[in-house]
Amino acid sequence: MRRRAFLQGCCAAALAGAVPLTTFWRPAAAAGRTSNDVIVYVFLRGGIDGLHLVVPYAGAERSQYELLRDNLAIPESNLRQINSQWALHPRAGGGPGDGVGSSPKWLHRLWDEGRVAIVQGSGMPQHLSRSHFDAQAWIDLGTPGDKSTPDGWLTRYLAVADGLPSADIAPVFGFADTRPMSLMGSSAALTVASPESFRVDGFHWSWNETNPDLAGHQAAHRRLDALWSGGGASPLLQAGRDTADALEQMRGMDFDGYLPEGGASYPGGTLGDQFRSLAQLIKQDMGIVAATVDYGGWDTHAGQGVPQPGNANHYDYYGIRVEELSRALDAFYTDLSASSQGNLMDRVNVVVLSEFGRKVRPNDASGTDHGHGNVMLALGGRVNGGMHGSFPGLDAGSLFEGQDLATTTDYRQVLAEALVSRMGLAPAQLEAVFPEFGSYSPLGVFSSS
Amino acid sequence: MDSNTGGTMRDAVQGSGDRIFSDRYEDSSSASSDFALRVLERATYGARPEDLDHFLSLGSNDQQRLNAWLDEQLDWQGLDDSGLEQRLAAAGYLTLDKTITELWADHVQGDADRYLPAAETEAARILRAVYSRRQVYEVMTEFWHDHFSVAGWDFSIAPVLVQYDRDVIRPHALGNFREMLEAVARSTAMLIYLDNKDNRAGGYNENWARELMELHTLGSDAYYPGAAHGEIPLGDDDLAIGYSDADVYDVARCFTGWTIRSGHWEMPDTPEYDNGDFIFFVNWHEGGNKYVLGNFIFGPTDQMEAELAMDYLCMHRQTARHLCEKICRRLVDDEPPQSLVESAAQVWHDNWQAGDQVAKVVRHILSSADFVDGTGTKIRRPFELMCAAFRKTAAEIEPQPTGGWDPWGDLLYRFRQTGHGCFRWPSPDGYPDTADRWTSASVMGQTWRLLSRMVELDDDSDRFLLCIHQETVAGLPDPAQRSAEGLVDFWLERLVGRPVASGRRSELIDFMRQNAAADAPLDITSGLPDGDWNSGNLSAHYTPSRLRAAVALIMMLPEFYQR
Repeated sequence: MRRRAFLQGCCAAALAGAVPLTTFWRPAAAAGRTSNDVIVYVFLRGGIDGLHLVVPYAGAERSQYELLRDNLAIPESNLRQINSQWALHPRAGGGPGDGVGSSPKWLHRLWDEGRVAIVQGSGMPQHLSRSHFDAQAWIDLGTPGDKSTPDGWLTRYLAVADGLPSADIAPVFGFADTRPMSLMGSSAALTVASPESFRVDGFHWSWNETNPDLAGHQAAHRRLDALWSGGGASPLLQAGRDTADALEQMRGMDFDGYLPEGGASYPGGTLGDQFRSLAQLIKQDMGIVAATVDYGGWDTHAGQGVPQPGNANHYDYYGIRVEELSRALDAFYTDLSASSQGNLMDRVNVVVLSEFGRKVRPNDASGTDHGHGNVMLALGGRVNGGMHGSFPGLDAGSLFEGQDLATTTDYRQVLAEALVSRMGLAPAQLEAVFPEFGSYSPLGVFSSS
Repeated sequence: MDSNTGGTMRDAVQGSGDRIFSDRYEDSSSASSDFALRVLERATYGARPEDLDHFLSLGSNDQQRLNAWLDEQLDWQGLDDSGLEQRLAAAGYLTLDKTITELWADHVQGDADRYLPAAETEAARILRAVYSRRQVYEVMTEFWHDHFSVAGWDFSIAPVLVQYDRDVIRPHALGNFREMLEAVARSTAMLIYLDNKDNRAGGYNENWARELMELHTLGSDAYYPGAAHGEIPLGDDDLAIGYSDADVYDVARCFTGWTIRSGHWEMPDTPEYDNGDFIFFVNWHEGGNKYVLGNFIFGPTDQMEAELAMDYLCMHRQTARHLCEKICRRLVDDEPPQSLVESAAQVWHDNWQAGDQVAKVVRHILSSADFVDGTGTKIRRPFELMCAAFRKTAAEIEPQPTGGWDPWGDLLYRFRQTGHGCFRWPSPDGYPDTADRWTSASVMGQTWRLLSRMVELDDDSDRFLLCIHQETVAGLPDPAQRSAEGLVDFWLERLVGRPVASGRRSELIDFMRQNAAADAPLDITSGLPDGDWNSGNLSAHYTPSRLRAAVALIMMLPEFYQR
């Protein structure tokens, strides 16, 4: 098995000199590899309305919320209360037919178990863009205000982190059709939308699979590696070789036959499938250290929806997405935490974010336009559950430009904390991952032990 | 030369005097055929032998031939495309001639399949890219679909996508940008996609206005976040050199009331207010001053406010730069030379009111030294790889909208898995156009998966979509020519046309020959279509199937990716 390209994560010339190849081997890890943590970076594309997910439940913020949110305000009686001040959208903890008093499922259940951290007022404090594309690019590149950065923040992490395990297929998986910008510039990342269909299998049966009963017989796909060999090291050639390698290795895995553990039930659809495949890859102990998952559809300019928990026939666009996300996160957590290999969630760290929040006031189409501050979520066995950061406030003096939630926590602080507390990065290396990000001030979202 | 069907190709191949096939490619790679190949591979969906012949017949030197070819391609309406029209008619599509009100009545309000108009638009798009003689026009049509991207398979948009393709994008693909923008702004698909149908007084919706400035015209380089009205300096055309959120909000207000006849309860309760067509609904228009790009929208009122705002955007130099950079990226290089972008932007700007504005810009770019010298590099994206595979194998296809397990269901499913399915990009920035976004293992692996299947797909009459066997027999009429080496070289010439790395050629020959000598003739005609089992002699084991697999492997070569 060749590990050629997969040992190092970055082709950015600027960083190459800083990365001694030998540091990628850590004897203790290479033997069993189970000691490395994994970061799962979930991007809710389109700008989730965080104020519709984590909702003021009582006090002054509640009054101000009702006043400004108008017809999109979720009544207290339709929310799942999680502490004296805050509540979750009901679909984070139950289906459309489940009343808010029903026993919590999914994200709500994990919150009750102390496994979920909510970071209020997160986003990009110093650089403003209400453009999806700029804001997503800035966040993924880790350089707010500059989208000409040649590589993504995860690419840079892989390049500078010490002691990463060797990887059989790839140290980082991007679950997407096209490579996410957080992995820009990475020659090590494998981007796949669905691992089980990742095989070149359309030839006539006589040459589609190697027939071991025929001496010398070799399937056509076995030629791909040689067909991309030679001719230099252009990005296209490198990508083709990595593809040929990854195809051969993934072909040996049985994705269809995978059985989740702990009674985990992944929701149907792409998101659930991707989390299930990711859990399987992590259990295979093949050196995966990072994964990205994209979940879109949050650009709710119209018909965002107000939930009616207990009414199974009520259509709630936003609620459907919250439920799918919550179920996928719960299944992933359950599957890994109840693994026969032990509680693997003790070394898996999920961070959920979006490019910006949405306007506090709804628009005339019962939707919300692009805003600013938002919430982030973290999930894992080493996450300190509860509220983190500070809610920026809904009073006129606190609103950003008089219309949006402000930002009180730079999203990079949360990612930086995950890297330092869990992913083996030294604080001094943060500058290489998040250039010009300023002083590191962790919120305590992750436990470092 | 008439090259509207695959049939003429076979005639050309059989002709003993044909330049391409009378010699081995090493002998025929003269500078002029290199030039022809470069132009056609870059500006069309793939150079076929008859395309190269035609190009070479257009004059006595490269410059003359390029000019004559551009004259022909850019006068797209003058280029006879009856072969394609016949194929479109024969395919029997049901929705492509329906008006917007018919689409609305049948596919939104009625019981007809909501997704059929999108599915047939995709089928026709493949047919056109493969067979149309108006290749530059089709390439630019794809460009504009990416530029004014809508999520074509969305529940609400799929029923009206026919109108978007036929009446909005195609008429203006080589025409005038301002006119195309007008058509986009009034199109049912875009009004739904970017929510302007809900943009009304008192609660405006900024989605369309923001993307209009950021993606469709000025570009995000001209975005000054946080600037207030009047803070952005004016250029020599008296327009602010960029825009801010304040401009977005006021442009959104200009567009209040631009909506569709959707049967909204605030509209009169009559059928003509529920037919899906554009309407400026004055009741929803927000009055009052608007200030756009440093200028009050003075004078015009109501619907004319947005017209003036669009004029400002289309005459703006930033729009010229932004659009020309994108067109140069499509046709020349992922990182196009700034000098070319600037000179093209000048042509764009000078002609912003000309009916053939886009054609002039395309001519400028395709005549430029940067294009002619062929210094840039582009790779084929999955759609282009698929179309080139069809074109270069003289495929006989009639794409059908389908969701089932027939050949088109199989093919289109695999095509979709590449991440490049027609009209399926979810966000309004359109499919990316740089190699780094199309060289992930996911895209490449899924594309190879598609190509491996394409060579095997056959129709109800058991005819393969790709005419690999017929073309091989016609190109190598003497069985003695059909050695592993002869077969591989024939298909390398046909599919790539340029030398490929020798190690790759040997690998292909090794696969084709198995245990036979490279120059020993192989029997490609016994046991058709698939060949026969032969466990003792792999060189005779399912040889026709192995030939199809070898052709698919050639389509997966790095050399085939180069556009």
